[in-house]
Amino acid sequence: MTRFERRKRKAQSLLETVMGISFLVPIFLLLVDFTLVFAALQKNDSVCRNVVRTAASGAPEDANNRAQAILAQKSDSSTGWFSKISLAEPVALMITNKPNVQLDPESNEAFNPGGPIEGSAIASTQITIKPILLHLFHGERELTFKSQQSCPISYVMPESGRSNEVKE
Amino acid sequence: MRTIRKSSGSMLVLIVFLLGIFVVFALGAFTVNNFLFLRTRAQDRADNLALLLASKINTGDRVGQMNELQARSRELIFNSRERIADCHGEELDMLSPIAEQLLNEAREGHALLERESNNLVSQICKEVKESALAHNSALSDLGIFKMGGLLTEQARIERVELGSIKDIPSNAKSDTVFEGLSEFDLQQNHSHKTNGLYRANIDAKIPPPDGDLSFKISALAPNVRGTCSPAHNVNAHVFTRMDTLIDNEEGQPCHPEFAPCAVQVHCKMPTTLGIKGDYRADLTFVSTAATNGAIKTE
Repeated sequence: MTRFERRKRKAQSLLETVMGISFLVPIFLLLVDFTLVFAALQKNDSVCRNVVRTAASGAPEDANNRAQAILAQKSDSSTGWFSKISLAEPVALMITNKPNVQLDPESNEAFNPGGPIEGSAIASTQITIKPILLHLFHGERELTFKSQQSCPISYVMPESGRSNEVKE
Repeated sequence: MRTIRKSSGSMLVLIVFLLGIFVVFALGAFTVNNFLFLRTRAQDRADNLALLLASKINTGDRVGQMNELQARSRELIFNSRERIADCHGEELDMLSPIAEQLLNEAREGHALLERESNNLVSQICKEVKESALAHNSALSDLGIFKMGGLLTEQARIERVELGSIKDIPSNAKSDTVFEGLSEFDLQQNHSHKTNGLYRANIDAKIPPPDGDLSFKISALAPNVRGTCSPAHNVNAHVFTRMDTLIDNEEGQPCHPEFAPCAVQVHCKMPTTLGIKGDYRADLTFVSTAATNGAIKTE
């Protein structure tokens, strides 16, 4: 084999390697991006589930405060890949039935007899990621994903407005 | 003879081969990951569904009120019977007819209560059944997920069972004002010695001659110092089955002896694997929920 032939073969291998790597690297980066997307989706979904459950299991007027507390607990910091998870919109409560204020026939005082509140809570959370390559196809540098979940309200309003509220 | 290997093109083959493995492996990983993700979501849906069905059981504290009515009815009958004995014992025979009339009214009232108790159980079964069947009929094709060779459909309710939760007492209390009755309850193990609450799912019969009457007291979390237990998901192993409401996605005749306080939902998610759908299996999810406790404290 002449010197020229040896160099030609080496050059061919080098070219194949370079071309191969130039295919492999973007594919690898795309896979990293997809992993990031799936991880973000799952994290957002899990937090959204916790948020909606917590929002549905307490007094309706404090639903958003409880949701924010869970968000602060479960998504306390943003990293280079994920943004902090936030509420896409305030928690929506669809109340179908709740105990109403009544008038005590004996004392003539208004009171609420208490009872379960029926309906469902709907929470929507969002997370933003900064992909490595996907933005080339998408056009925007950041991708935002939303998750929406609902949960039946499981709260029993205590009796209120009577002088002897707490009974043994 | 020594074989001379051809080295040109080997890198290209190697890289294409690696690329293929890489892509196949990644697709497989994403599919499995998505499958697990969908499974978690389906379990959440089953939990929500169980909670929704459970909250229908004690709407308006109807089970709690029925337990209280049963307890008060047995006290009334027991007390009326004692008054008759008093009339005979204290030479107040002229009051005997009134005492007997009061006893008869109490017994008639109890017969009415028994009918209403049965109606209540039927009504609970009907409402829970309708709600569960409505869920299945509202499912659409939107929830179908397909990726690679994996296809999952929306979770459907396959079976719904009504029951109660282990070690939960009744919300009604055995009143110590009626000493004879409260002592009888303790002897017969109808009530708890520590808190006086009736045991759950018992026929709390009273002493003869009124032992022919049945007083069915159901399980329900009692109201503790004004705090009512809300509807909540519970572990499946604390559930005690009473009757099956839905089986194979079809409503079944159901009439448990006592009012239920919990519901167990069995869902299935049809899943197909393979390019031609070669492997088919139904993933099952079980979720249990208890209804809200008694609202009122007597």
